[in-house]
Amino acid sequence: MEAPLTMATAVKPSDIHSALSRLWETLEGTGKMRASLFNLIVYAEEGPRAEYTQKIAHTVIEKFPARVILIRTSKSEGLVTKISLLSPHGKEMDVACDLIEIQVSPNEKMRVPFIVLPHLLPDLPIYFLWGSDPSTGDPLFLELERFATRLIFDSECSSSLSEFAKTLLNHYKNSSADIADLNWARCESWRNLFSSVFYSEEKLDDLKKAEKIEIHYNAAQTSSFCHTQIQALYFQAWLTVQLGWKKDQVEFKLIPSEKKNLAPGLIASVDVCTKDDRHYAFTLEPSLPQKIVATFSSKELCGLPEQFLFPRGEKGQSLVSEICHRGTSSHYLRVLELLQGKC
Amino acid sequence: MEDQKAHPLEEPGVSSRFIDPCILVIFGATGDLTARKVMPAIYNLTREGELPPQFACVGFARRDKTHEQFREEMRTAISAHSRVKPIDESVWKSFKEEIYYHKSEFHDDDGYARLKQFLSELDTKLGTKGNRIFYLSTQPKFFPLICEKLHKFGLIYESSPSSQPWSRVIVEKPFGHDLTSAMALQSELSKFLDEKQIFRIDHYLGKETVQNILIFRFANSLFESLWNSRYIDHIQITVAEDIGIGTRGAFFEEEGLLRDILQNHMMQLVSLVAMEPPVTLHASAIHDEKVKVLEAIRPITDNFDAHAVRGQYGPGFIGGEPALGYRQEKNVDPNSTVETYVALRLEIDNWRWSGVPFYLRAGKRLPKRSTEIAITFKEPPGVLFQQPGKRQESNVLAIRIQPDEGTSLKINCKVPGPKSTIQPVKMDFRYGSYFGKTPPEAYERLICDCILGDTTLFARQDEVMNSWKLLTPILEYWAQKKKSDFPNYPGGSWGPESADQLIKRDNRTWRLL
Repeated sequence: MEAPLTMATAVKPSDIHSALSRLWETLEGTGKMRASLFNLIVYAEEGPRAEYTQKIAHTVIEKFPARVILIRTSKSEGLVTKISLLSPHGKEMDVACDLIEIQVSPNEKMRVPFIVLPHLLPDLPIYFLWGSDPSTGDPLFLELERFATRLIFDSECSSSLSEFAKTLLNHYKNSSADIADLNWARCESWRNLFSSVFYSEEKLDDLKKAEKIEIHYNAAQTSSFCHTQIQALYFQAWLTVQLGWKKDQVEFKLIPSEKKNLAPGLIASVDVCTKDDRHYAFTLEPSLPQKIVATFSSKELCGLPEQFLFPRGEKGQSLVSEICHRGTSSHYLRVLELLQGKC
Repeated sequence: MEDQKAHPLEEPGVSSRFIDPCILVIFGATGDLTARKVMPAIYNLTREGELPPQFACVGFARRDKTHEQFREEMRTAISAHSRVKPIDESVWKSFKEEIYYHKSEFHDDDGYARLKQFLSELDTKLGTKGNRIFYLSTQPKFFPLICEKLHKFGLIYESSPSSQPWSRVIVEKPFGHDLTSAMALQSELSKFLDEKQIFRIDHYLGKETVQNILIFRFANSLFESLWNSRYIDHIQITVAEDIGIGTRGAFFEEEGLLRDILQNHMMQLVSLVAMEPPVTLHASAIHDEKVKVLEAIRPITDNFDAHAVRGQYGPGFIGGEPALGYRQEKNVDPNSTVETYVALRLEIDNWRWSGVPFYLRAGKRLPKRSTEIAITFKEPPGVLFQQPGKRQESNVLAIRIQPDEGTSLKINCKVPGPKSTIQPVKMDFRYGSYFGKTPPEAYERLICDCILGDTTLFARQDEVMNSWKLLTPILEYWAQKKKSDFPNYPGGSWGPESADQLIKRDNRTWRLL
């Protein structure tokens, strides 16, 4: 877990650069090296999701040092800027990076781009995590997205998935930045699992003959998660577009259930029944959510359970990969095209 | 980079020349430049022992002052603007005795006669041997008048750099207003001075980081072999300032940004980046190569809008605080059409640079202060590591002239892990980290070089003329075509939309600094 090296200090916006320099001077002789692999701008509106969005940012910095600019709206009047230093991997590591926090009231938001722009590090990618509904056309978003190399959204923030899909497709067409959605990242492991299991031609043919698919997902809501169906919808849409299924060709059932030990919205199990009565079942092990137990059965055969492991490793690895290293997923674009106007 | 002399007692690369005793006379001594740059430079040179004991500085201006009053004003200026603070009292005690004031109008014959008498007395008192530098920190319109008077009263005289006494004139930019006026000014000065006596200051040339461009290019074989159209996609040169025009409204209304920054500083940067290796480090060899570059730049004679864009800042925010627009600044016409931003696209038609566009941009009230030369290399062939939906990042060599002086190189690197995921990273060299102490200010180096008679870091007349020759047609076009959409960028942004379009037409984008 990254650790703050210094307390957050309030400074005037015009003093951000010099204040950061002075902070670094206090670390001279400690062996800490200032490092940034990219710029990460994070926007969150005051409320339950703000902390969650910040946690996303911290998840990223745990893995990679970055110049982080955290923008948070607040009901308090005015604009406050703070700076501090963070150390990924804990204080014992050699590198540290800068954190600039901007707390702003809604009527002062027009100042924010002018504070952000001078503090973007040149030559490094700029990842912009917009922790709010992008379809509202927020002027702050429109100002900052022009500079981003990658736009990261969270469909959880949106009340309409079809509007969200339309907005993202629009941004993709009109902007040079790659786009990503955190919910798409969250169900990556399931997509990888299916592409691995149904890799052979024979198995793929089986899947194409699916008649009924049940997707069980964790519908337990939290203060920052209420649209728990999204990952399941994404998975359904992904299978549909990639396998070329026509409308109503396959009966999909998205079944909510409450599973306290799983992250909200996470797909807990997928059952596939084909026209020839072949049945594939994939279930997250309740006690070990990285472990999937897969069974296959048909009229002639009942196979022994197989086990798969979703990638372990640092927390949120797929999230980090999605945020930092991918271009825009062509599969995701097709999913969005399907979803606009559907939900 | 000094003129080499064959001398039995001089060891090349080891021996340093002592600076000649001399008197520096500053015309326009009560002006801003003297207070902010020239006098602090002389003070620091004295403080570091770079100037000889036989040195004096005489301020020449029309206001009524005593030597003491002028000294006190210069003390205040040095305290405020010296790169080293606070003022060293022990240095100041002796330094102030070298500062004098001479009251006169520029046209007053009696003033020059008295000046001659005064300087002669100083020669006797201090041993300055008749060596003179006349620093014309005035508006260019006074240059011919002052030189004529100096010549008339025998204050400037023909000499060669190797003999005593010598006399030289330093002139500040802008040298002329356009090609015609620059040629006329040159013609006027040539009546009284030969080229070796004219030192046209472009203070960018005095910056350590600008001087480092030639070292970087020609002392590292690694880069020179890549420094051509085969490997370079394009070059961007940016001079960005976050300040507005401040108190210079009246001056700026006459000049505009193209004359203020592009014609001189930026064209010098272009020539240093693009020039061929000189045969020697003699001033003339370096100037010759710079001129060749300027002569090879493709003239812009039509389709101006495709090559040159101008802008003017409107109200905006700097450092998060509201900032006035240009037209609201003091001494600026509320309907002014003077540009505070320029972007140019240039092509150099020679073997080295054919097909490599040079994009130049300069502006006031941009988000941050930054002067940088960025060399973007061609994208690698995408056959090996091309990821679907993702462009491979090009390598970029960025030379930061100011602030945060240094050089960085952006390269692509594998992210640790089982997959071949690529992440761009930066290798970074910073002057401050390696060399610690504050480097000398540009004016310190330039004044020293003028005393030494070394013209390397000054603009030669053909460099200036070629630069005007290229840019004057643009100025003429703009003069005819009035801008109706000014202001066209908010203060604190990176410039007008039309500048983005200029580079976007070539499928490229401006660097975000």
